[in-house]
Amino acid sequence: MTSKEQAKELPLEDLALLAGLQRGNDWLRAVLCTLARRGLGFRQQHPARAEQLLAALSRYPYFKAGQFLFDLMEWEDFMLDGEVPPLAPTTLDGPALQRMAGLLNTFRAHLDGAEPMVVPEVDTLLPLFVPEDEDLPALEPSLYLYHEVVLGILCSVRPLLQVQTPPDGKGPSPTD
Amino acid sequence: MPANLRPRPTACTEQPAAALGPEGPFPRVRLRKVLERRWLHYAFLSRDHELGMVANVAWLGPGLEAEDAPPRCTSILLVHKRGEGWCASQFNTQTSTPLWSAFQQPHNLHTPEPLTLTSTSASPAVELQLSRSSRPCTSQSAWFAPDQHLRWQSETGVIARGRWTFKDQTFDNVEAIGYHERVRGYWGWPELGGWVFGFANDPGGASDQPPPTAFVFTLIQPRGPGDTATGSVMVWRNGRLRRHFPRRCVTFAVRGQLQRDKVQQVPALSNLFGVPPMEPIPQQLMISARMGDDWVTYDYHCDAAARVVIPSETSLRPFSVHEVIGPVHVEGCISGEHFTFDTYGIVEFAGGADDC
Repeated sequence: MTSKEQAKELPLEDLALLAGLQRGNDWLRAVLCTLARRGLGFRQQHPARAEQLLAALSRYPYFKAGQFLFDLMEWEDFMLDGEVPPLAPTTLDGPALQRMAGLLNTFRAHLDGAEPMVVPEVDTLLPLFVPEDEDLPALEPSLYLYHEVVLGILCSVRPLLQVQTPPDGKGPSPTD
Repeated sequence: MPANLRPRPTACTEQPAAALGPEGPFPRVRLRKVLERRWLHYAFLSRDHELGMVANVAWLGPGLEAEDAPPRCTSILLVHKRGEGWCASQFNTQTSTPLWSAFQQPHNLHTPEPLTLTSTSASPAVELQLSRSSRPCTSQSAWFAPDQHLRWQSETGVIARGRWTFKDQTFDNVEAIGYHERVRGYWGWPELGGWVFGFANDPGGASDQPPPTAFVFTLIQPRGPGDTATGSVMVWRNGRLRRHFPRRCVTFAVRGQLQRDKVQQVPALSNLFGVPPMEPIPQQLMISARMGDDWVTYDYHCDAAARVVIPSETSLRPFSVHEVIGPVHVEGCISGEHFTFDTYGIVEFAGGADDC
């Protein structure tokens, strides 16, 4: 049986499976590209600040692991391949950040018994990226997209960090 | 459509196909800026070590002012015959379309597909059927300058069978084993600095099987910022990448200088353009890598070299890639399994665009 004949005989359940993967793929691509475009927008507005942030993060173990994962998954090719995906403006928005903060807090509590199992309060009415997303720059093959994605994540979580005050009360104020 | 991009096959059913990622070696996105680059690289050595070849097909962005212009393409083929030196095309080798790449998906093992590269003067030329026998390494990247980068992915154990033309000699039914690589990124040659790169495939083993052991190393030496040099050693066993020694686990050492009369400058036209003198090429390169109880050494002796002169878009001095062929002894131990082999390998010593 040739591969063409096999392809003709793909049952509906397989096609449904592939279609499901395709939907997930499209969503992931839109999320990654949205983050990268936010990061690029931030870099274009604040080039020196972006370089300083990336230089500081380059020693951060999670940054190194993220780069390995990014290369392993070949996400740069994946993001650039084909038509530009639509923006996903709810990427790391207020509700998403709240859930993410809860997840990380839960993880910390599982790792360290002294930590309480609490969900941090996040103001879900924080300014979101929806208005700014409309003017985000387009991605180009010249970009090292891992950096843009990281900057995009920083931009997205910044509102969360601004309302989180450490127990010693010496954290940055919301106006910093 | 660039030659490297394979047209999507006609759907064999009415049902839409799922596109879950890039199908070819590069994403479907148009190159625009001048320093946006891609290339496909091929390097093979015949199993009897008599013939060697290196080919590179590169695309460069046309420039923002060129709007919808296609990328600029350069292609060069070098064939080496032991004892007789190198024969090289200009930067306009004719290539078969689509260009073979192990990074087309799907791409089955041991399924021959053609690659034809022919100088416009008919020599050198190769008409090959290529088969992949192994799996590629992880995609890797180097970032520098600070807004430039290079991404690459390597695959060893590519089997080539076919006809080779060297000057006025033709060799049929040559079986060779080699290396394929895809590279893309955005960089200027002065900022990239230089690189040392090479490979060796154990020629033993059955011709329809992957080499028992294969070795690939990379050392990229950008000029900044800070400590951006990167490198690694990778070892394949029976077609699978078994160890990736990171930069901190690898040492490189060189000794002596290759006699300059063993270095040939190509393409031939470069000899007319007042190219500055070349950098010396080491006589011997020794690489050692250790991670826990696993270790490997690569003891390479340079035998013959071709200096490929590449014009630099952003500096007066050209970037030179020295393609070197020579004998190598590889030895190591991975997961308690000791291996050793002697063969010929291809090494590149590259740089020079940023020298004052």
